[in-house]
Amino acid sequence: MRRLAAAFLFLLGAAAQAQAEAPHRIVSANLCADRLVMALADRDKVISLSKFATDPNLSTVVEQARDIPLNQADAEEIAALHPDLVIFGQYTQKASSDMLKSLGYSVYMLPHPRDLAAMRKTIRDLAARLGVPERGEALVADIDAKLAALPPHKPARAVFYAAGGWTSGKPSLADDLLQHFGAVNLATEAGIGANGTLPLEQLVAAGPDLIIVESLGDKRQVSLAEQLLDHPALAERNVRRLDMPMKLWDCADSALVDAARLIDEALP
Amino acid sequence: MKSLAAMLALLIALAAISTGIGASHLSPAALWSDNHALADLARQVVVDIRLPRTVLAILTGASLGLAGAVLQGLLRNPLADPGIMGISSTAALGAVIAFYFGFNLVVAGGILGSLAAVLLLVGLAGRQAGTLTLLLAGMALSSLAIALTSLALNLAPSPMATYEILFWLLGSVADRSWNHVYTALPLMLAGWAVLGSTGKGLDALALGEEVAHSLGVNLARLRWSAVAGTALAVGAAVSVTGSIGFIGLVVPHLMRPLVGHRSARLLPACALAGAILLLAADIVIRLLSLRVELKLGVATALLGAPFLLMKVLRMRERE
Repeated sequence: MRRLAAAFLFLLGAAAQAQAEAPHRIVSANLCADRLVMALADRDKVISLSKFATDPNLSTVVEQARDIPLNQADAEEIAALHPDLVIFGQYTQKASSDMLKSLGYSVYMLPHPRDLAAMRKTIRDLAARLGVPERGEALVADIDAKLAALPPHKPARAVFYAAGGWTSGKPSLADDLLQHFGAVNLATEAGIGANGTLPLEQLVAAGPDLIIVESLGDKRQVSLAEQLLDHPALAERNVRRLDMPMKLWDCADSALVDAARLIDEALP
Repeated sequence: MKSLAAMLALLIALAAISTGIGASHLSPAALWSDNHALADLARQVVVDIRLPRTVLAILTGASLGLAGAVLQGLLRNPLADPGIMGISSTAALGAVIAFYFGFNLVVAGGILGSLAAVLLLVGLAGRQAGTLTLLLAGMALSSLAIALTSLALNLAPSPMATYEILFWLLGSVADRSWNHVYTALPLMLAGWAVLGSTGKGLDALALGEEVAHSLGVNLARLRWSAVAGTALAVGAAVSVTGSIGFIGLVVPHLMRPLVGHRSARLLPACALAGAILLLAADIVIRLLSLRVELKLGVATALLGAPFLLMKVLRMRERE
């Protein structure tokens, strides 16, 4: 019986191996995929990254990405690279990924994880597809251990607030992190789901202790949506304000640990 | 005079409602609360957040209503409107270019944009262009301005680009601060003064250009005043609110049966009615309280577009 089970497991393993034959010519057409691919795959197997991979305001892999050709997520351009695996984001250029699929390319759609549980699954699934499941496990374990090392705080009222009044309630990575520290997410309290806008006066009336503002790195751009963040009503009250670099925040990967550390420092 | 007084009363009542409602469900009565923290919060919500929004809705509505009335009179075209004729969208284009490429003079950009549009349209009208020609020219101008605005925002170094396009094309007065009011107010007031000065000329012009000329109206000056006034008022409004359509179209049509065609009454009535309509629309979208707040420009289009269609159908029947 035991031998039978062992044989079965071996077969299963072989089947999985065959199905996910480790790719050698990997093209990423999405920023979050760029970052995960650089963390998981061998560098010499990555033949192209998205155009955002070298943007210091968005990417955490600027150094590693140097010398790797960039793409515009354009089907014709990607096909010319003869990839054996193309990774698109769930929300990037659907027409281009559909086109590549219909041309017979192996296209992997990287989901956009909404919470930490989904992030673990996303990393594990991608690592399996890249033929390096053990690296996926290790990355997940590393993120979990580093997050667990950050202690909870006394209850505070906090919120993520981006240009245009956009914020995240439950389920979201923001909500998970605030919960980790024992803070109340004001967006969740206001009944906002993964994404929604919180009118300024509702935010002010909710009495936040900490407002985490998405910043675009060192060069903050002027835009009308961002002017909201400078509204006197926000500046006037004695509310702590944390500028969260966008790149720590826009993808579910190990950068979240740095985001969590910033929140840890900012929370009362 | 009675109807003007009634409208003023209505506007004041709406302004009171507007400062009384909002997402936080905080009543202005809390301003005088004994609880210091509550009074402080109420002061912030009412004075810093709701009041500038209310004032901006009134100023913008009045600018659009007044500009609509003057344009309709000058072009003798019942469908003239800063929105339909592409003046608002060209103003938005000017503001966007100024904003995103670092000139930091957004209002100047808005005014230059609308000035270019009005000049072009009035130039066309001066060549005896008919209603249809003007509208089509406006449509072309509007499409071009919208396309260029999108292009400019796509080229602008901001990841918020898509959101911003929406912002400029569908205006809003939500969460504006007093800074926005201070920036736009002086220029709008100047625009109103210039637009108001066109009243007598427009009355004469209603009888035909030759009659107006024989009555001693300086047509060139009249045209310039209308152009400059519209550019100032609409350009300043758009550069802080984005483009909000249809107010200028609808308002004069609603006011003529009520106060008659004489400019001395029609122009102030249109300014008041524009303010009332826009403020009312802004109150309605706050009362709807959807998950994401409806844009003011969407609300005015929902009201105004059917109105425009109705007008066009009526004109057809008459022909």
